[in-house]
Order: sequence, then structure tokens, then C-alpha cells
Amino acid sequence: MEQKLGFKLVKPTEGFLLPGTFLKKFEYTDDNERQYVCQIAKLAKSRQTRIHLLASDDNTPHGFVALSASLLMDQPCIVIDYLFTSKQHRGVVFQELGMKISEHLLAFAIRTAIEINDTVTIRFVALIPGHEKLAAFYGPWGFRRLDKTDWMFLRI
Amino acid sequence: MHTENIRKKYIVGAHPPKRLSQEAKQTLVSARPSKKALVKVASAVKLPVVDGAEVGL
Repeated sequence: MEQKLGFKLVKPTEGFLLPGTFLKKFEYTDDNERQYVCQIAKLAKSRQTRIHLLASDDNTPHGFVALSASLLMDQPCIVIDYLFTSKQHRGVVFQELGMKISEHLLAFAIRTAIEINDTVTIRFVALIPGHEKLAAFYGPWGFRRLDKTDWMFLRI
Repeated sequence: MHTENIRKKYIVGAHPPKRLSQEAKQTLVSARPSKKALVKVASAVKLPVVDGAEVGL
């Protein structure tokens, strides 16, 4: 079902990343999932990853992507540490975006890597899909499996 | 990690492995930028980026 909503990307404040605040803004499938989001918020607070929120014009967070920098085969890469859509918004194509929340966040992550590469070399975008169903999500975007690892990568 | 339905234990904040198989290295060396990715990225609308402090987030 399509909905008309304006969106923006938000750089959250440190205060917003406090688990007590951050976790309340989203809906989860189960407690496991909630725990993962709690962990990523803590990583963001300790500056090990950077969270980018996707929020509607009324400032309601719909999802986020967490990005950090690392090395893959000794070459600089952007790691998608976490990509999350709040449970109630999953599978919905938003008219303003022309795609789902997860798709837009992934496009943002890849575009970010491409833009950074204009200034500082970034060779790959890398991630670990949570399970095989998610590996199927990333494949059409050009991500490939890395042999004998859980990782997938995209060459920039 | 992409969250929809978590089925296995996942380590948050993991880094890519330092040791790779020869096949993995070859895959990385021979990889080329994906046109599929570029088309999809180009089709995504570029949204304004705002500071959380301005919007209470």
C-alpha cells in the first residue's frame, strides 16, 4: 500500500542514542531484534558506527542504517553494520521514496560510499546478512558472497 | 545486518575477516563496479540531511 509522506535523513544527537530513548522509537519482531538495535545504539554512542535515521516530516523515525569504515583485503571499505526498518513499516512502498524504507537506506549507504570515494579511496561496501532471505535482498543490488565467510560485498 | 526476521546469532559491529581464502581474494580482485547498484542508487531520491538537534531526534 502506498502512502504520501515526506522524508528526511537525520543525524541523531548523542542523547537520542541513549537506549532508553532510541529503543522506544521503533517496533520489533522480537526481543532478539530489540537487543541487536540496543547494541548498535551503544556502538554509535561510542563512535564505532554512525547511525543515519530515515524519518518522516513529522519527525517519526521509520528506520536507520549504521555505517562504519574498515578494511577488506587491506583495502578501505564501508561496512553496513546494521540496516533496520521499524516493524510496522516493513514491506511498504512509500510514494515519496518510490521504494521501501530498507531499499532507500541501502541506496543511501551505497551512494555514501561512492561520494566518499571521490575524496578518499573506498573500494567496497561490505555487510553480513542476518540470514539467507536477506542475502536474496542484497543480491539484486550487486552484492556478492565472499567465499567461506558470512560476508557479502559490493565493489565501488 | 538487515533486520526483518533474525534466525541466527549475529555479532553486531563485526569487521571483515583479515584472512581470506584464495578464492575469496580472487573474487575481490576480479570484482567490478555493479551497474545494477548504480542504477538503483540513481533511482533513489536524494533526501535532505538534518541535524537531530533541529528536529528533536
